[in-house]
Amino acid sequence: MFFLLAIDTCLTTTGVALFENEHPVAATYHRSERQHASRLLKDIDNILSSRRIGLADLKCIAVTTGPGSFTGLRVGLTTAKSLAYSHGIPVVGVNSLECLAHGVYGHRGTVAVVVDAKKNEVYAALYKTFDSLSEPIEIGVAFVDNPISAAQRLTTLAAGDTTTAQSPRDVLVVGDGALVYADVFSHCPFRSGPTLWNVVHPECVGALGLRRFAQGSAISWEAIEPVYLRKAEAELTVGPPTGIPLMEVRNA
Amino acid sequence: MKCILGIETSCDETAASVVELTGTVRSNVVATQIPVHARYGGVVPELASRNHVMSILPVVREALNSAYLSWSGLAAIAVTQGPGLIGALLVGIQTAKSLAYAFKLPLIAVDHVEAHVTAAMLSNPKHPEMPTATPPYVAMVASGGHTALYRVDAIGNYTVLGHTLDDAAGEAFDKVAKMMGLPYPGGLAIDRVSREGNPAAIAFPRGMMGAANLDFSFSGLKTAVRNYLANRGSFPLSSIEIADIAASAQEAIVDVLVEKTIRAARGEHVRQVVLSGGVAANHRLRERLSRRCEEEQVQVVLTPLEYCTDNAAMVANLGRLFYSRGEFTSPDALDAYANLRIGSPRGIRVRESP
Repeated sequence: MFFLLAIDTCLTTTGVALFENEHPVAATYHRSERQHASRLLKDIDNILSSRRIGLADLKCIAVTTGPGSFTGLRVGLTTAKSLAYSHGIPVVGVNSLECLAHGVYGHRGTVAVVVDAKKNEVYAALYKTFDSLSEPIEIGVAFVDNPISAAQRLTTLAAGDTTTAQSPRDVLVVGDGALVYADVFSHCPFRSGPTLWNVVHPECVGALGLRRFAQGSAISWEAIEPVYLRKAEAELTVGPPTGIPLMEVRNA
Repeated sequence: MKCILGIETSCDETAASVVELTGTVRSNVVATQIPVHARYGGVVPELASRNHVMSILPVVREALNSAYLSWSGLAAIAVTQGPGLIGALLVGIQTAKSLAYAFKLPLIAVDHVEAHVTAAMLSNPKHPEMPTATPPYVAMVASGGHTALYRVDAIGNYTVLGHTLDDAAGEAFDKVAKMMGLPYPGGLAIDRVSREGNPAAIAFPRGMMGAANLDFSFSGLKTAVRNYLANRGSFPLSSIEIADIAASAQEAIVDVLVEKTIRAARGEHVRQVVLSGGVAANHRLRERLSRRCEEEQVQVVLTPLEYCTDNAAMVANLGRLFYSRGEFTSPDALDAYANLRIGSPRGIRVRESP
């Protein structure tokens, strides 16, 4: 039996899902508490126990690597890496914005994902979606920007995408960013969807993870890296670090 | 012999260590982020967290490998829960929780300062003649984030005798070094260049030396050095001048730390004085405190250099002491506390293995 565990703590929710072969068999998500951390392992344990399996039965762990809350994404990533390391389980990293685009099941067209990045900025990306069987294709590259520029960039990207002959009115916008910055995005020609589409559904993380695993994209826990999109404040004002950590064995 | 795995990520060092229940350190691994933060002249919290995420598991693996230990040889995982940078602490805590869950090991939450206070209870294989700390004793913990004197009566039983009212001693070293354009980290640079200087060259103020209490203040020294540099004009500092300023500023800090520690030892009638924390690696402080303790006929315990700056051996050490008392932390209650105060461990301690 093939089991895949999906973990997501990037945005406003903490989500866990379990896939048995290609079927989602259990999933849970809830609004994150202060630090995302408190309930994640408990949720994982509950989901594994519900199918009477353990970590040793997992063939893959899918985890959202960002963008999102810095602390939040580190909690999920650290958990996924640690569990993968403990039992030699391969890991698939999935983009949190892509998971939101994939959450719009069955929608054929263009989806703009806009997520509140705080500090008057949003994480944004534009995707072309087909149907529930295909994964979304990113148009352009995900970025972080202030809401006004982000709205302009998304509009330009959508207009420039010649592969879909449609008006900007057909672009669907999902994610909490369009709600938080409603004053900006209400002036966009985009359509908004139901609020159900504004949260990352852990099944979407699992579904995309499953696909990547089948494509042979699963890698070692060591190689999985977070996607922050935004640099640390000091990097923006001073510049990037000029060195990397140095591991020392200080045994007596 | 079963072992404790210690994990420490409270600031800019990613550390893991394996310590036997008897107190023998099997491994002590640190991924130092000094090269990451050097450009900024201080620790950038977000960059610290980002580097912890990538370093922690390789550091843990190395700690087990160099201890020649497999996971089945562990009895528990001890992890720092504060005080420190909240984002940095969370990486270590989540790693500890996940590994404890995966390997079905109990968790022990550890206070970072308490770990410094008790680090000298570890045996010192490089200096077997150096005694290990045995309560009751007075501990001086001086680092970049903390400067305080404690009376230690037992594990978990501490009295704060005095603490800094403004900058920590390590912060004072770093700021003085920065003013003279010395490389990061400043404490280390001052220790080095001061060896060529005259500690009596400039009379910098000894903050609160005359006060009847055991508190400290180092902000006056910082101002005095700044004024000294401003008054001497803007022509470049010669290496002799740098050495003299460094040696004099260091002497001002060391004088206060040593005298207040001795006063504390006298007042508390203890037979042992323990020096710990990152500043405890300063050669002048070690030298001067040793000499004064000898005069006072108090036994001095200098925490081994590798357990002075942030490390996980001290965390595993405190973990083993809690372990021996059957005290663990429930994983659901284990959280990070940036402003944790010594002697008030947060989270629920449970008796016997959960």
